[in-house]
Amino acid sequence: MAKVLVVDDSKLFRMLASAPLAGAGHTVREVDPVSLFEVLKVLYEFNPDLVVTDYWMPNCNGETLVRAIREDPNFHNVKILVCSSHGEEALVERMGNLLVNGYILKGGGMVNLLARAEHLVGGMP
Amino acid sequence: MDEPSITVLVVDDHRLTAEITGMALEASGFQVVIEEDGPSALARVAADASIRAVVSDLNMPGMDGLALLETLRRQGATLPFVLLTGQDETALGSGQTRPDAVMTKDGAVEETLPPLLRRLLRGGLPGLDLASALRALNQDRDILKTLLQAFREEYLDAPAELLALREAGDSAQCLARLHSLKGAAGMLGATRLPQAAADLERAIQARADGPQWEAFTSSLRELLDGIKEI
Repeated sequence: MAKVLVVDDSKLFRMLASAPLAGAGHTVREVDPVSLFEVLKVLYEFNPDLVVTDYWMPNCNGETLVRAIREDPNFHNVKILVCSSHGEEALVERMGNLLVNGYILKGGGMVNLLARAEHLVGGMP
Repeated sequence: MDEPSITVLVVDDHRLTAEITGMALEASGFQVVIEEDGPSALARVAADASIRAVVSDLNMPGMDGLALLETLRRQGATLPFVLLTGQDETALGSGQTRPDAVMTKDGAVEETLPPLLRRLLRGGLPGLDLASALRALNQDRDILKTLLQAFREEYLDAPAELLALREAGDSAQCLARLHSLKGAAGMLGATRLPQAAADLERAIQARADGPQWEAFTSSLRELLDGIKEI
């Protein structure tokens, strides 16, 4: 089972993302991205295997967060799954270039989120 | 007669109340059997495979409605269970097993109970891919109910709030709130609402919003009304 950090400015969305992951046996922690510092603080404390994050967040831009994770050697093995309502091709490509491990649309539902997350952390004891 | 072959078990220690509930169901085409206490109801469900749903009073001497539900679920019975109560839902406590629906005993029961039962028997909720949501949640109906209620609380007044923002000229805030709603609805498994929200989002961005408001409001209302009855 994996440790998953859910980052989204909507408490409701954090609940919707956490429920299927926790139901599948993963250890889930949620963080309200009031600032990039706050998210990084929780990252250090929790040391997740996977970060599920929104892209458009008013106080912590998803792209900035992804860059911060990728540039920190402590998080070398952390997988990143971006879950957004936006599906513009340019955005998907840019996130891909930032070495995220997956990009899904919120419209795909909890089933899709769970399937993609489990694919990324598959095989973890 | 909508569902002539479906049998519903009504459980109430007040025979007259059970018969009044039963008459309302029979008038809508259900067949009704009545028991006056929990143990008799358990025996009836075990013996009569034609029973497809249970409507039970909460307060009964000996085994109350929740104890009846918990025993049925423990025995593996998955049939829809509607709890009728004269109390506020908070009186139900924090037990692990929740009924599929709770209805307050009032004059509206005879109008609202039959369509609610039909919906529960179909296993669906208008505007929601219930099967998919349950699959994601490992078939945990209690968690799904918690998520649905949270969605309802968050967006109960959304049309009025969004319209007020739009009319005040705060399109950015209106779009941000609409965007969050679209994402949450999509993640929940709503079938029509995400598209209606996306259409409205685009129309507002193009400053050409009009009929999209009605489609959005009716999609949201359909989902919220369904959640309310759960």
